[in-house]
Amino acid sequence: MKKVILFLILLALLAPHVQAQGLKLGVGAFGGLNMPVVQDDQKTGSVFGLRARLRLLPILTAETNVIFGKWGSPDDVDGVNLGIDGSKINSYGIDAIFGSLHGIKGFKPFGFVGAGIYNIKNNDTEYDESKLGFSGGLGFGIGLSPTLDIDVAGRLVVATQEDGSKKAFFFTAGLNFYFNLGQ
Amino acid sequence: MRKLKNKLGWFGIAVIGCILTGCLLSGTFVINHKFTMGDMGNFYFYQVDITNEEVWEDHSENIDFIDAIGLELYITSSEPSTVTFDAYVDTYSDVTITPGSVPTDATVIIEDLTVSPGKTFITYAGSLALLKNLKVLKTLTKKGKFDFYAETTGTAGTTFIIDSARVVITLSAGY
Repeated sequence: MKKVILFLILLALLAPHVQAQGLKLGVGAFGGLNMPVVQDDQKTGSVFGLRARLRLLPILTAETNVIFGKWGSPDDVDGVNLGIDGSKINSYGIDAIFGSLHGIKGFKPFGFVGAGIYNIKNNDTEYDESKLGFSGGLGFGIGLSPTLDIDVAGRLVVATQEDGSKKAFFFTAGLNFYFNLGQ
Repeated sequence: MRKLKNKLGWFGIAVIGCILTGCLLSGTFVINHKFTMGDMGNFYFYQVDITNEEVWEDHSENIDFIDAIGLELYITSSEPSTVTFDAYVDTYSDVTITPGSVPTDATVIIEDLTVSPGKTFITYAGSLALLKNLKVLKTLTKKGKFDFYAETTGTAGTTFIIDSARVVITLSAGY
């Protein structure tokens, strides 16, 4: 809930800037597969997120997002059923997206890098860490109209932990709506 | 404008490079170490040593932290009534003779577990709810070796056997 509130606050902070400069805002939701990378104690799970986008330059967009992910229960280890749930990975952060997304119909490739606060938690093992993490990836959008597109993206996540990190690959599809405030 | 694009491009390449490098250099691994203690009366001792486990050998120089640790215990109690079971850990002693009691500075990890007559199986998931002093346990585990003690109270002197035990360790480490 805190992450959703933070997301809405960030959205509210962006809104006056958009209105003042007449820039286009976008909002959307996405979901898909959440694949752990080199994590023997997790299996592929799901991920869901909300985003708000602000076009800063014709080829540069800032995005704030909140992401809720869960990995699947681990496989047996040498015949031992661990019998625990997979960990949750939740985050809120900011991305820089390179590519033209707003108000364009047709095929729109893009790349992105970002940073955020990632929380990884497992109620069974009592593992609970929140730290800065990074992500990056590639994707493409298909503009159905100047105000509506769908996108597909692959995001590699590196969530730093105590002295190391947890990695995951998010493969998602999303729906985005673009508009100008004040028009 | 072109300079800005170039700078942003190089920044993106640098960040993606860092992410890819980090991705290739670390991971989370699970060690499953089985041991037996047999009939030792009402006192049990085992020197846990995971340094010969393949995962440990591959990553011992680059262990970042211990994510989780749990136990599996198969117990057979022929006692006529319930028995109280406690388990402790302590720094690896490397002794050749089994000690006669739990050291005073050992750390309790299972306290006052009631075991009924018959066979009892404590699963890995079940042990996670029982284990105490996880911070100490993880610190000792990160060294690769530690002493494990257990004792029972309320025994009538017949048999209380830990048929087999297993420690399952999840660790994050680099290559």
